Amino acid sequence: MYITTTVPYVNARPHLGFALEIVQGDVLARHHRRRGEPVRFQTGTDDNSLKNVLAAEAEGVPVRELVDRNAAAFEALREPLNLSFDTFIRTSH
Amino acid sequence: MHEALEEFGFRRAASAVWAIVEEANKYVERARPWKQTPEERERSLATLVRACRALAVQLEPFLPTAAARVATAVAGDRLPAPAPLFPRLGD
Repeated sequence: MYITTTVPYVNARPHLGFALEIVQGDVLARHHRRRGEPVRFQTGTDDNSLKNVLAAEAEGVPVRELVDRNAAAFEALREPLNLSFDTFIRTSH
Repeated sequence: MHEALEEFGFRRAASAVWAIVEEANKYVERARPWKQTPEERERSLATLVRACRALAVQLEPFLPTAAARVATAVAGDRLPAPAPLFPRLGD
């Protein structure tokens, strides 16, 4: 069972809408693991978008810096939301 | 629950879990353990502990930490001293 979420743009910090999506993915992953099925649950961020560039310009910081910071905030959802994703991919890595 | 999740019916799956709680609540109201003889009460409470164990299993995909706390609270032949599952807001 392969479960993925959308890979959100990282022009801003995570919002509640994405929390719903990733928690739903987590429910599916835990449910299928518990049934003994092999599961790969993957999420991540889309680091390449015009929105990311515009957000960095508006803030006056390098694009890489903004993207790294916000992508880290997405990955850090693991703790407070108790997520069990197996891999976190970034489209710039 | 499995059927519901197969078609991404998260609300329906969560309702199936909650149905255990609703049934257990109805059972308490029907059985009124506080008015039963000690033998009857023993049986009623055992039934309710089994319901909580089932709840802990079914809750796991949705609330893994809370499910683990429920499981701990109803583990073993002699239950541990009860503790609140969730702290009150503001505590």
